[in-house]
Amino acid sequence: MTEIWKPVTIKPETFYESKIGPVSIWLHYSRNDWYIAEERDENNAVITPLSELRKGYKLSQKEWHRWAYGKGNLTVQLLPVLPDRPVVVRPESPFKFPPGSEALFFVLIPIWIRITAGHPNPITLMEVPTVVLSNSWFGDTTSGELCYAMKTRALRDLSLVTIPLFNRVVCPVHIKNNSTSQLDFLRLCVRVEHLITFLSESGGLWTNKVFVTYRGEEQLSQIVFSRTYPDFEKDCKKITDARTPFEKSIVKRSFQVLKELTGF
Amino acid sequence: MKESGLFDFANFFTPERLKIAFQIGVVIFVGLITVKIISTVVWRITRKRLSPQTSMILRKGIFYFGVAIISVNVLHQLGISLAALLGAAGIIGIAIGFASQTSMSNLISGLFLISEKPFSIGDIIRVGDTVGIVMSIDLLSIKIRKFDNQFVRIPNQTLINTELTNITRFPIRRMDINLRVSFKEDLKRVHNILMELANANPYSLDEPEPLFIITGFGESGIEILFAIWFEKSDFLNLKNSIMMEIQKRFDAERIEIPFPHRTLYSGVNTEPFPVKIVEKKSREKDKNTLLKF
Repeated sequence: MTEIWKPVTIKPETFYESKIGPVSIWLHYSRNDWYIAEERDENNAVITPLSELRKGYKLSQKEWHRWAYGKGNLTVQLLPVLPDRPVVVRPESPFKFPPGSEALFFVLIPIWIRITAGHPNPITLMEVPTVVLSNSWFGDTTSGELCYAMKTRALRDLSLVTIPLFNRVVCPVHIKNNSTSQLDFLRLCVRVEHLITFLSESGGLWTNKVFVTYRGEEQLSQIVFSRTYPDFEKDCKKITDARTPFEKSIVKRSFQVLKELTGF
Repeated sequence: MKESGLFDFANFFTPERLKIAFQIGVVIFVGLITVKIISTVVWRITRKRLSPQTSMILRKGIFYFGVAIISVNVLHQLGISLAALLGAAGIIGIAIGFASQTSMSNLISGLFLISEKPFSIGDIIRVGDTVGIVMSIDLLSIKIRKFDNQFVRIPNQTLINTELTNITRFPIRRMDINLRVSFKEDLKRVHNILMELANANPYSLDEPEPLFIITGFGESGIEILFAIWFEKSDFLNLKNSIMMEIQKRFDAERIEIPFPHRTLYSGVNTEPFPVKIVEKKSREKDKNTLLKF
């Protein structure tokens, strides 16, 4: 399963294909140019590494994106990255935190595929979302932030899902209610731009652990990003960096109103 | 200087006058270039730190101030007394003030607009029937580029007196879609279908949630307002995609979008007026019957 994320040196004038969840990616190099095509089939979620396609495949069979590249190194690599905007996660059913309570959740976030070319200084050709998430707005209507929307079961136990997942990264979120009032967790803004992606030996994708401490309504919540991989699986290796490097602890006004748990 | 009614060029362009003319030329040439450079440099420095509007005003302010200094210098070179000129300017100013009331009104309105900041450069605004992107905000007028690439100049006085809508002031907007469904439809089913469509559309925001309001029972069907929130740059993407999706889904679900129609009754307790489709060959016969009727 980890094979899929390894660099591959391809032959020119040959077509390659990889499937990651519902997304199929085609790659082709011809006369100094890279060609990449993508297709999405929600009913066919499999994972296959980049492999050569049968001969006789024609360029006209797909809608290609094309890059002028030159005669560089023909090494390509597919990498899992997190979405380019924060993700607002909505539990399927509301979750409540009595004062002093804490809980660990596992949020499954659909990954994007980053396609890089060249070695040792690869360049990013494009990024393809494996799931097209709907837009969401976090904040009031006159100011706020554009995010992606996602519904989650807010898993408390990972045995309920089979790891590795095709195209999802597991983000462990530890929430603690340090206030004297009950916290109703209805929406959670996951600031995925600060998350690092790790790959386990079994092929599972993980992000660094996030600790959120709620201190009360209209108070700043403390958010701490762990720098290391979560200890749910052994021998995880960092596979992609955070889009935006983070400070060890950031303090944000996370809980806008009593019924909303916000960001990290 | 004049001889036989002709201008004496030879005596007019004395070396001293030529020197002054040369000095004036240099002052104008060097001065304008210097002012242009300074205003451009200031604009480049400030455009990323200040709003486009403030940056542009600063640029123009520096330019006009520079031009004023150059003018004073040129007048001094010409030997015109500035004190006398300012005295005359007071009288002329009053005269010009009376003659240019509209311009002064626009100017003052422009100052109000600049301080009030109801919009800035790049915003999409609606003034009366005109919708376009604000290109510049000047002391006398604003310039707008309409979506069909037409240039519109609106005097500031008009803006002060007219209702103005800034369409892109806030980051998200609501798109109101007025729908009509037949009286026979199950409105709960219609509601669920529309919500499903909004949830599945990537341009529609899931928060704030889409709005479904039954606005009334119309003449031809039940009137519905379906309102979806979106990020302001997604207007066209959402408009086209959601309209196509609604039509396609309504067709698939056999939900009727009734066209405006009116049912005629021949009496209070009678059936609706009977209408039947007749074959081509019997048309003439029916026509005669109808004439008799």
